[in-house]
Amino acid sequence: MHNLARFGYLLYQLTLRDLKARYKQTFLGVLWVFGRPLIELGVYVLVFGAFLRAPTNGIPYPLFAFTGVVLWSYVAGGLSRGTRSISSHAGLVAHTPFPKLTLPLATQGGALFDMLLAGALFAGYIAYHERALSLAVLWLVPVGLILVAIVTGLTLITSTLNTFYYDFGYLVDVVVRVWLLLTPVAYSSAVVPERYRTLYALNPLVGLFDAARGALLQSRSPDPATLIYPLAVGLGLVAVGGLLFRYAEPFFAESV
Amino acid sequence: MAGAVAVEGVWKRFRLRVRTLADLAGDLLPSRRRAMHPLRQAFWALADVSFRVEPGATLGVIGANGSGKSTMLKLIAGMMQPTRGRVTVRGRLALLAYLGAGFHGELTGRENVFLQGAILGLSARQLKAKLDAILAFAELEQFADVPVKVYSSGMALRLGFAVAVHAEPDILLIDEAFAVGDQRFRERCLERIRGFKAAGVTMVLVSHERDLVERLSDHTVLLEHGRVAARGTAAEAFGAYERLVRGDGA
Repeated sequence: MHNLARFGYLLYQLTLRDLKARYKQTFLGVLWVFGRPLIELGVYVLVFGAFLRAPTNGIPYPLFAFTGVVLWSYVAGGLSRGTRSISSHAGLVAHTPFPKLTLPLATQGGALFDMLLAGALFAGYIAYHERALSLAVLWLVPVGLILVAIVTGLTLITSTLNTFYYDFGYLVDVVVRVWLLLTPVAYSSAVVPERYRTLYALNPLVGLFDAARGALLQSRSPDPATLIYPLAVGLGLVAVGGLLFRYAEPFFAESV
Repeated sequence: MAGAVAVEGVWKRFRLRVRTLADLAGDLLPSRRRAMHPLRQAFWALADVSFRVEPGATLGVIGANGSGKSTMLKLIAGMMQPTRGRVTVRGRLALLAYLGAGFHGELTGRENVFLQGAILGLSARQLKAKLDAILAFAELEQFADVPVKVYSSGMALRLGFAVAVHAEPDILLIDEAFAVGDQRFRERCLERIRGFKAAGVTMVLVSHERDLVERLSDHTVLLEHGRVAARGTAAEAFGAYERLVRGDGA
């Protein structure tokens, strides 16, 4: 219990550091949190909304895309920075005994905080559009938790591999970009032709992003069955990632 | 509780190799393993090292650079696993080495105290209670709210040392941590270390400084290429070390 409290406090301090360091170093500071999703959103609105006229099932395109952008900001931020969380703290990892698990978890905390800030902006936007919310919004909680499980589990795996194979981070960067295109962030999964559907749905984020959009923008509760696959993937990744990390942690100090 | 350390027949091997995704492919395809690793080498940093540190005792570890001293401390600290043999540690550890490795330049001295303290395993309550004492020990009260990046290297090291010695360890591992600050600060650090010793804290001290090792340690081991070349009092171990150095030179 004592150890758990210390672990929690260390995680809190490292998350705080992640946030403070990033926002103190950048010129725009906290505005960056809002600036980045807004710029992305602007481009999506132009390209997918105005040029391609992506179908959104009656939802105004900016609202539609904003949901995707906010959720994706966590996936991309958590995974890219998390992958490098061990190797970028080489001095600390090599010379100080402490639970290394706090490093990838703290980057998840930082990325989640970014997502929640951007989400707060989104909430203001929704309020401005006077869209009614229903209790279906509560589905965002389990959907969010499953998303966190998937990204955290993956990050445990990638941060471990990046410690032993220096160029693994570049591979992750490429995968994040491809993954963005294969996830309904800027477009609706409904545009995917029938014969690709099964293959497309192998991406566990498809079900999650669809469920989050439905709950938030259409007062629609997701069919719980559609969440079973993402949940299974998330639990599997956390289990594999946790075991891999625990096995590899004693070798970090000599490998960074 | 007084801490204790037992090191029994410990060997530690390091591998030197180029590590890229090509190596990962090599690791996954056993048939190609040999061909993929032209640069894979291994060397033994420690070979069959054994010693015990009884509760409240201080062990000095001396030896040339690369003799395995720091590796030994990292094994005791649990940051690495021995390739063979066993390291048993009873009690809470603190490692005084590379102080300030966890500092972040953009954060203030005060913020870094909490960060570094948490890394060393202190709780929020302990840190709040000790913040003033830590800043006073480092003589940085006036600079508490200045980003650490504008500190001089001496100031940063002082802060690192101040946080580290305000942990409450049963076992204190010290790795050359005394090259810190000026003479006066050094004396206060030593004072603090002697205070730990008087309070019954078990210590392992890695150092090149004969004077320091003689003053603090009850037993001393000399490491030479990862093996225990001599053990005894600090004077005996340093005597053996000098004979070794002279022998190499002849």
